[in-house]
Amino acid sequence: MLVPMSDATKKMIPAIAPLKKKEERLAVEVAQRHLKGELSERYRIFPPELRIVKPGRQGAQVQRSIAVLVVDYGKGSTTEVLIDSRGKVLRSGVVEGFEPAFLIEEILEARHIAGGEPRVAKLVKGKRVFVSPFSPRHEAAQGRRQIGLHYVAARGRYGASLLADVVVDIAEGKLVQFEESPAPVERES
Amino acid sequence: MAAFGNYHQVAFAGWSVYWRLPVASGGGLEVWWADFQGHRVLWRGSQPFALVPYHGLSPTYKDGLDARCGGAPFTALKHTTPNSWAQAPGPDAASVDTDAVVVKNEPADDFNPAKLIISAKFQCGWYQYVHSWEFSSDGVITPRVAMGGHLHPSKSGVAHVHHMYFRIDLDIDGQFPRDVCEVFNHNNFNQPGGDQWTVIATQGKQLHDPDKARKWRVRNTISKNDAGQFKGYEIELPREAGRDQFSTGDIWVTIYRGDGFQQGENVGSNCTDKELETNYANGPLHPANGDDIVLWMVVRAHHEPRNLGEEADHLPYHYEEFAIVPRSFVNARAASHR
Repeated sequence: MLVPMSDATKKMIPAIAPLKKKEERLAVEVAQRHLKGELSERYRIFPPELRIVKPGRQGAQVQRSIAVLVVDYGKGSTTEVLIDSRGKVLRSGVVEGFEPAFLIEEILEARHIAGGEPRVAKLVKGKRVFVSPFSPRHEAAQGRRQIGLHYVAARGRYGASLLADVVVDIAEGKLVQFEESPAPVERES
Repeated sequence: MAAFGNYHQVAFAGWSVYWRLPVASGGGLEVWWADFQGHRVLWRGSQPFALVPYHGLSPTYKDGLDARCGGAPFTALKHTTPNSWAQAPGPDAASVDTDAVVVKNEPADDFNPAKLIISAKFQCGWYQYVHSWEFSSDGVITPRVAMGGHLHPSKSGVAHVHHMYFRIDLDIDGQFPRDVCEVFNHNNFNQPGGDQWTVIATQGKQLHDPDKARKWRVRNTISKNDAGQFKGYEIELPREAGRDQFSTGDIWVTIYRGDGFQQGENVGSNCTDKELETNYANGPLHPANGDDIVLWMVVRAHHEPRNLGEEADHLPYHYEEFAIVPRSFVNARAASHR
């Protein structure tokens, strides 16, 4: 029987093994220590993730490294700290032109902030509402961490109507844009 | 163990493959280190982002990794989530990657080879995306993407195009020796000489031409099968919608510059794909000794909504796919035993 896994992959098995809780904790501690003094008061550390990079030359071993992303709300920037499995910082720098996906916790925070806005509360009152995040960013630069929220209400047996699009600035902790949608035109029956 | 971001190994149908759902990228399902019959084929494959322009030229979303222009990241859903309004955050969000991903081992039957299928679904605004990768016992890889969920609630009757971008990092029979990328054209019915493979000498954008049965191949510069042919894998890209001012190419030939870089970030500053050409696929190639080739490609679907009929309640999952097909990768003897 033919063995499906290549020798190259077999050699990588130790390097690509699942991240342990202990490694995660160490990576976060190292990243925080490394960035001490550089971060503003409001930042969020993303869950560390394994980063496997191809070896640069033939015969070299794949190295296990851990990437820690730190989104700095105050500065409007994201820094990545790359750490080896022993806790040594391999590389650190601001990530240009990339905004990390919104974490569930951030979306919940944005919804909480938006929900405290009377215009939003009034709009959704008594309705079966679907809320989904979107990115309001157009430009290349990351800028402030802002989360857009679509508010959609079920309408009739089928279909739905967009109630409003809002944008929440996570750094400021406030709603910065509220755009109510015009009432839908009812179809002729 | 971390809830997301780990590599999970699966094997069936002659394949060993790892899958992964990262958190920070928002780019959906990734497959890594796909080996067929003991030989490396793919270092990494993903469908990290999509551009979705609507008629009327607004909106034009960039969904997935580094979402922009009103688009949304791909948020992993439990695979049991119905094709409806999903609550994520909420009860439909996958709390761990294995909640989202389904691995299916499909035995061969009288009509099809055995298949290893890795699938996951994602929330993206009112849409759902399904990422699915099929690895067949004949060596073929079929990346698939589906759209489901709901139509735009205030533009339910407005047609739009889904331009879905795939990043494919083939390493034919390993990272070394290096590979070249070639383009195929069926020029005429001369025999021989009507069909032609041409080595691509510089990184850049490639355009499809179905009239020439155009396809592309990544092949090793040294490694050969028992018949003395260079081992390779071809890209067969069906075309159901054309290029436009937002999605300007079909294939971009570039090189590996790292696994934390050039994954789809920095693309879409004007809600177009121009950065793939200006920033990514830019520089020389080395046809003699080869390079570590990375391909970007687009699968497209023009969606004319059936908003007053079949799609009024929800969008039945609609799949688009392409094929990554072995050429001279498998020896005749091994092929006859599959």
